[in-house]
Amino acid sequence: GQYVMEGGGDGEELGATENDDDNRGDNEPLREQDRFLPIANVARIMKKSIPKTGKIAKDAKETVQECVSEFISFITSEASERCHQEKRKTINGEDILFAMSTLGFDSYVEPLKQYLQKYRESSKGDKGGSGGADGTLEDLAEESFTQSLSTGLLTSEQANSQNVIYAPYSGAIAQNISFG
Amino acid sequence: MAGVEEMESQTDDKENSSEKIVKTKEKNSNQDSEKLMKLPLSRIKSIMKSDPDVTLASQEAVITIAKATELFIWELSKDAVHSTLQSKRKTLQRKDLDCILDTRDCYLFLEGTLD
Repeated sequence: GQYVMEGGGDGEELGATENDDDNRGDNEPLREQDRFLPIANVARIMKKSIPKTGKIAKDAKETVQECVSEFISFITSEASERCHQEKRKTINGEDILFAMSTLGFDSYVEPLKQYLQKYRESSKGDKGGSGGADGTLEDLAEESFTQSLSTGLLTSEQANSQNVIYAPYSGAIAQNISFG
Repeated sequence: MAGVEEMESQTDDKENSSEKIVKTKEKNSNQDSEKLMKLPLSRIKSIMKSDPDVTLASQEAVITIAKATELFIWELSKDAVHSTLQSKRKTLQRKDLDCILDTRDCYLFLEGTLD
């Protein structure tokens, strides 16, 4: 006998376009390349933390890519739970901060708070805009916030440091580090 | 795919050498900051939404996570490079990442990711 397939899709395949993030169905798994942040972006940030003469192996970049996606999911999941508990539907910045604190990323909270504050201030002036998240906001937040973060990290590291001094990553790192 | 990524790392190296010259002059370079925040928000949002329990996330939430992600990459790399230095290597390798994962409690969630 013959099988007649009754219109395979539920409409999901028909409706969802590749660029349409918001309409992406919940059961639609992300394509491989969409599950991770672009490797170039990841590598660029990694480079800021290592001495200028250093290099990064490709598999290290890929590994960090994976870790990063895990990180995002991990934080989001925790934030989402809190949201549900408080009977809210939308995860906001505070939920993220709370999640970070709960999950052991306490040292990030202060810098993120400052960043968020500047973001809010800069978006007040923009009617209906998404705010100055890129560009000028970065200039405002970058210095103060990397300093407070790196200060916190330096304190905990001094126990086993080998005369390695990490300056805030605005580019001043390399001079103090020798590999030899 | 592999071919493309090889090219990318070569490009990055080129950027490095020209960056050496530029950066010493522009310490507080705005270019620096702008380059840093090039994590695509839409991609971050996709990853967040791939969790079926997540319904909506505000723009603020996405931006906060984006910044947190930057910090995470930075911290992870910084920790890993300790291991690189100890081994007297110049190239940060995957094993350096493996090495530092049990040095902080906050990295525990990554257990299993690196297998």
